[in-house]
Amino acid sequence: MVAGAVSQAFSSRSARRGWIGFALFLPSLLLMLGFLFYPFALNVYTSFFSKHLIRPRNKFVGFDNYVYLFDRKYFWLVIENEIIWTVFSVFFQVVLGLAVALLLNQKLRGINIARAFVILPWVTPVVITVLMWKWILNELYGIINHILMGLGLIDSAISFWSSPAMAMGTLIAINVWWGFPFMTIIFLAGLKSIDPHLYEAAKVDGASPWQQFIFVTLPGLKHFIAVAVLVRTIWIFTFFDLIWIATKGGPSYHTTLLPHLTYLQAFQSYHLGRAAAISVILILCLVLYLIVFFRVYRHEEQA
Amino acid sequence: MNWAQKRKMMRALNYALVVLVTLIVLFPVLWMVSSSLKTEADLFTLPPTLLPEPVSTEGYESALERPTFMVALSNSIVVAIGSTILTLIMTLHGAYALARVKFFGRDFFAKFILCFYMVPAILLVIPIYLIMRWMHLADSIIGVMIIHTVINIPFCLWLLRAFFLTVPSELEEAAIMDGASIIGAFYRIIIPISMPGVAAAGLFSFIASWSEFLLAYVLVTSNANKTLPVVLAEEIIGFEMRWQALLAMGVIVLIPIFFACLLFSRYLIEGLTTGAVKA
Amino acid sequence: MAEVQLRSVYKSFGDKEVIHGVDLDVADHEFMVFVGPSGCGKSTLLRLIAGLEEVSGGEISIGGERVDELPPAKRGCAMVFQSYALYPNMTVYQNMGFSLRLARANKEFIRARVHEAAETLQITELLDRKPKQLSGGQRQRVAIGRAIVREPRVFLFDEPLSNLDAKLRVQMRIELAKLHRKLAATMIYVTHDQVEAMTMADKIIVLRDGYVEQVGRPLELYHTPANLFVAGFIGSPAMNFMSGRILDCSDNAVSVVLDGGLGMSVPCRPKNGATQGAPIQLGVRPEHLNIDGHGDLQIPGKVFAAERLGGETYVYVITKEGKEITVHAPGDKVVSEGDEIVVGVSAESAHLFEQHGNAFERLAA
Repeated sequence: MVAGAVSQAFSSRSARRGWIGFALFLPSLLLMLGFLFYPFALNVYTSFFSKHLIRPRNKFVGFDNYVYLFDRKYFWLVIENEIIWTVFSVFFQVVLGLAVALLLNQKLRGINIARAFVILPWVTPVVITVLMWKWILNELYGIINHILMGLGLIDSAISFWSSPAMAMGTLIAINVWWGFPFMTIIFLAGLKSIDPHLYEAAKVDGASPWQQFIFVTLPGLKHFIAVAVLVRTIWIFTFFDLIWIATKGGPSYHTTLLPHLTYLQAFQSYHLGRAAAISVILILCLVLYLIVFFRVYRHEEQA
Repeated sequence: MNWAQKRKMMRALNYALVVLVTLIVLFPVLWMVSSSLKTEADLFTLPPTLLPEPVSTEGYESALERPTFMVALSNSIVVAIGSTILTLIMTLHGAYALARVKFFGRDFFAKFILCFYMVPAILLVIPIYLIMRWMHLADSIIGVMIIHTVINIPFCLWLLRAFFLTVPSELEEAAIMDGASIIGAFYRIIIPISMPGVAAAGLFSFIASWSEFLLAYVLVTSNANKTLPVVLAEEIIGFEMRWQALLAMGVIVLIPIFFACLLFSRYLIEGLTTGAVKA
Repeated sequence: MAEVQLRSVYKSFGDKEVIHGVDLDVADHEFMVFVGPSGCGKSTLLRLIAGLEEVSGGEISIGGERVDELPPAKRGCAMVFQSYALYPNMTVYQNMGFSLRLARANKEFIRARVHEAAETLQITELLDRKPKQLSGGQRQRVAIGRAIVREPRVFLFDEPLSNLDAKLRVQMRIELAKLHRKLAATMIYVTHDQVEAMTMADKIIVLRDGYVEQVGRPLELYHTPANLFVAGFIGSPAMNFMSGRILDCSDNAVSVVLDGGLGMSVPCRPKNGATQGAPIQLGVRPEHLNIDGHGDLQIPGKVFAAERLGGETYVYVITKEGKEITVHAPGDKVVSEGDEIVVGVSAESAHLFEQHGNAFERLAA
């Protein structure tokens, strides 16, 4: 009744006024439909055609684009990369994000300044992130190599980008640094939502700090962790910028993800049909993930 | 050691830990700033020195002398500010309509905004390129500005709608009784009250546009229209990295975000949590 | 002149009708209170008058002019909201002057009006503050001040005191009554609290489920409630009801027998349908009962609780039939839990309601 009051004043005095509301929203809606929904649909459509970016070629080829991709060895390598990249990135972002959130959740003077500083990686443009990490990890002049050698942990400088495993590990590390503050912010909000009396009750019951964490903090954060994992997984799975700027997917496809494959097919091979097919595969992966995620989540909720 | 002393110790340790973690997290940034202020010779000295000695602005000078960088800087400023203003104009009204005005399909739209937000940019990049090419906006900063606006709309709509929903409708009713029109009440009462939300939305749009790489990278081909992330990325991807100038550019790109972030960190956190938690 | 008239006003939300054809006349300068339990439609009715909701049918006029097609600001009503709805971004002064500013009044005029209203309410020293810096009572005054500044034909109050603590509420009640006398304006006041209604109103309208149950002066409602609902709603603690049957009726009396077998004759004018053997409800207010057994009817029972307030005592009695009765007794009466007592009822104080809940017209009142 209350919520209806203002809309009443809008809509029912005359039908014309209801349209004002729609008109206010319309520009946003049109832009979203035109540039977000339509492209999405166009992708699915194009994936069944052999279409060239520059030459006017447009032929229906059924599932040929998909078959072509499934026949490539590098396609399966890319899928493997995706899984490693996503799982490790999300896992370490959650763990680090949670640890820092717990640290920053204390009542200390000046803690707000620390909170403001800790968000900084997340608002740092990816380009700059790659730039500074490349400088830190530089084989000759990088401070990390210098420190590690100074501590006697390694004998000769590490080349962080040369071997496939090393490159992937380095990229994941950078991604964790860049993305964990997002988790921290969400978890800080989550921690704030836990009733402080629960901790007092647990303390009175004789729970150790670790037990308090297991029995009060984690259950209280469950929902927040789920949301953060859901959002970040989709994000990281389709994350183009970081790897592209750092390694361009190299060495030889060993850090390439589906988004890079899309880009390569579209803007280097000019084969739009295949690029679209990769996009569709990517969407299907995400849909599959969402289904599994919600199955598990609902199961957890009921348990 | 008695209990009180032990507590004091714990407190000091805690402080030390917070400071240490903050420093570690910020280390790459601090190191970039420090390195950017070194002379070219010092930059490549082994072992590296922690602080620049002497402080040198060589890097900044050579960065600012580069025409590509300066063009990109002005492009980025225009694109980021322009798309932020466009985004706010659209989403302030759109979000208000979604929050308060009943119209056909409203609740459906409100739900689907988030789906739009979740659509990864890579899925859109080819079609958007084709559309922009068709509109003859592919290689232009106007095109980039429009597309940045588009990708910022869903999140800002969602964020502002959440803020508007927290404003009691009695306030608008009071304004209507006082003789304001719906739109008048919105401008004079709702927007001033929702300033934290508006600030957060504006800040998000700005940062997102300022940092956006992929779409600008695909859309723009000529040097005159490139934005900062594109120019910097091309330098990094390129064969030979001119570290001194690059690090200085990095600092220049980071400065506006750094200050915005520190000044408005409260709004940023509030906005992000409103947006993310309710998702 | 600012009388308010409602003619068969209907209101539906979607396909749910919440106001079912209300007719109402509020005289000029009258203090009218809408009272009823939550969800009875009293707030909706007020919002219909204000123009915040639109009527689905019927007519509303103020001062003889039809207003239900006019936008809220053109109706000459000012409203005080339950949450006060002060604009948090404006000072008290700006809050109070906002409507005049919207009407493009000149600055001097606004200043004069705001200061005049502020003096009336003794909030002059608060004019530069923001609502956040005010206490609940002060916010309440500002909200009223904002209404006064407009010099409206009709003041509308939507449960304005319900967010205040008990002591402040009593104080504001008295001040509102004073303000009404001073401004001599028409006021319509919504509350769920029957004490507020009884103490402030010139006239009360009791609503239930979107229907008008009764309209009248406070004491009329108290002494001659039209039906069971009004009888139970008005008066505190609530009226006691006992069921029984009609034994016999004449033109000016009805004899009844209660479920336990006790009987008495109540002076009243029976309605048609009051036939022998028809079920009825007998109602008596706690303050009209005594625990000494005086009167035309004696009901034996056992005290199961006694609330001693000092000056008075409420005695809760359970009869042999298991019926609970509340009795109001002077504070010096000595009773305690478990006492066997006899509750006395005098015939003149009793109310009779036929099976549909409508009252028989009382002859004793």
